[in-house]
Amino acid sequence: MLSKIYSLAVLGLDGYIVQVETDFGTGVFSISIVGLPDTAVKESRDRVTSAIKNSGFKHPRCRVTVNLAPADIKKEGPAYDLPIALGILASQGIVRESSLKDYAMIGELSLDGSIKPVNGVLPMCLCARRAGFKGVILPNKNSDEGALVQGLDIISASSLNEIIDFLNSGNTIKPHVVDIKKVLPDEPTYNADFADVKGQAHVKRALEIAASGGHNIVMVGPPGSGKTMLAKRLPTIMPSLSLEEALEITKLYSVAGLLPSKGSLINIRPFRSPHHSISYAGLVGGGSVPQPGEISLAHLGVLFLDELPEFRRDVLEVLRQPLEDGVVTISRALTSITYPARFMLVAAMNPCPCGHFSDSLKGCTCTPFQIQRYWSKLSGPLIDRIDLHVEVPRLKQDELTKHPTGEPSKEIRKRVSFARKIQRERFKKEKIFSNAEMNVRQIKEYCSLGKDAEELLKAAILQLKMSARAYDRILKVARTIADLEGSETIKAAHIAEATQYRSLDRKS
Amino acid sequence: MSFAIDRGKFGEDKAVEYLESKGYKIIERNYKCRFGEIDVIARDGNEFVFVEVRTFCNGNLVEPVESVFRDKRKRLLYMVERYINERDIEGECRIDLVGINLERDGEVKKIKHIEDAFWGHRY
Repeated sequence: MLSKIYSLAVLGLDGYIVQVETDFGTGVFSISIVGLPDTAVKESRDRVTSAIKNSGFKHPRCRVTVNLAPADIKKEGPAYDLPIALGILASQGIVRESSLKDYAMIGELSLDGSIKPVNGVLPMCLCARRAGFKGVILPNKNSDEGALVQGLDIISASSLNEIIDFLNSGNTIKPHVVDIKKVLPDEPTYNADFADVKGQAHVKRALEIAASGGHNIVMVGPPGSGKTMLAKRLPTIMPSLSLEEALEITKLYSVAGLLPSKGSLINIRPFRSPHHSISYAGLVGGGSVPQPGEISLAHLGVLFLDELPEFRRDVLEVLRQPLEDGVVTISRALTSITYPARFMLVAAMNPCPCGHFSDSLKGCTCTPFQIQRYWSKLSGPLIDRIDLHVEVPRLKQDELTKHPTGEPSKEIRKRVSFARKIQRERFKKEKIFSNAEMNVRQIKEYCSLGKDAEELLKAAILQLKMSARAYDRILKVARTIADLEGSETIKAAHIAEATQYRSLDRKS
Repeated sequence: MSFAIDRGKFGEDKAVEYLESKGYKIIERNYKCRFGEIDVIARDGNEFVFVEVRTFCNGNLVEPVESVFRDKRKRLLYMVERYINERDIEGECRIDLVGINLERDGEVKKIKHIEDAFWGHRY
């Protein structure tokens, strides 16, 4: 007898429906799975056989053919265990066929018939809602994640028997519901705060500007001056996430299998700090069916590259295109997948290999050649994409012993959110969200200078021998500084402040 | 006839007796084709049961039911498929193993019956 069951799968960030067809033929018991299964899907027949036996049923004494349609897309992972098992039981007449067409189901089976969590539940459930299913049957541990999709009955179960009871006798399992307000609070809680940081007022100011305009920033300073500490606190001053943003991040983490077991929605901005030994595939994403890389996991958050010159050069260069476009398209022989990657790049580095160049306490022991080689790791095009350069000096002794008296993140966040709101209003008609994303035309349109500001900028360009690119950068940063003040036009003071954040341009 | 064939025949008779005592209906014995021979074909309720009988004398270190190796399993699967196509049967099927241990004097010492002994998955 033939049975049809709906299941779900993901390709990139989008779900699609997989129909699991099960047919019986006379012969000795065997299961053959067709429809481009990978090893995990093929092995599912052994898990399914044991799970059926240990749930108190007999496996069929006949030849079983399972087809996963559409047959031309590669099927991966263990999420088809549950639909295959139920397909077999339905063909045997143990499960009532009539209830099967309303629900899509996913889940990995354990040999004892219990159901284990799978990856990519959120995009799958979104797809199920689009396709008009009444609900989705999924593992208990994925229920919080699935319930983020409103208007879909999330039936979660811990064992095969529970699901068979549910399908045969109607509503014995209540749909799982999650209160969005509870999982996405207006004020996110971080376990770090800018108030912990001693001194470094000008760096904090630069980070505030960076967070306001979505600018990339590089911090240069001797070891122990607090670069990492400051960077870690950057997400705490960025505006809180909207529901759409939170769902987008959660989708990425769901596909990557990185969702925390407790709590379903990622409700704070991600902070990713990959080690400098990372490969380019780890950074932008890769694999025969590409998985999201660090830049996508940092989407709408912060990508922190500590010890920037230690990264492999080819790894840094692949950052250039996603920094520009906000997305990364990974093409492999099988598929081509586009992941979002709108992140803020925050880099930290020492001024020289020994780290003590321009240090007030310790002398530098590097030769000029060593320093030159160290800096040459950073190509012009990459430095060009970083709007703000700040030097982070060592703290003075009396600053160190003082109690931290910095402004709390909450206060700074208020100002940042204010500046972001102005930008959202301004770019309503454009396809961008922040000042950092402006192109040349938009800079011309939105960065109107006052008379004295224009003169000051001209003088700065001439005096400091800055490039045309640096000119644009200064305008963008000045725009953000003006937004922070709520000023319509860019004034001379804004230009003056923006110019001092181009210190690396002056060096080279 | 050689001793080995006699012993096999004797064991199959004993196995048939045993299966009938368990309520199986014997349909056919010694179904032959070019892959070999199915010793007993029976019906247990509505299931077709294909039985391979192994008879060992006492003193053999291997259990009789353990002596059906991959090659034999493969041939059995081929033969069952062929039988199903030839007789055009429909219904549930399984393969059973019956192992018989004999004393030196020909007494049956032990009968071991494994139902649904192996499956036809293709790896």
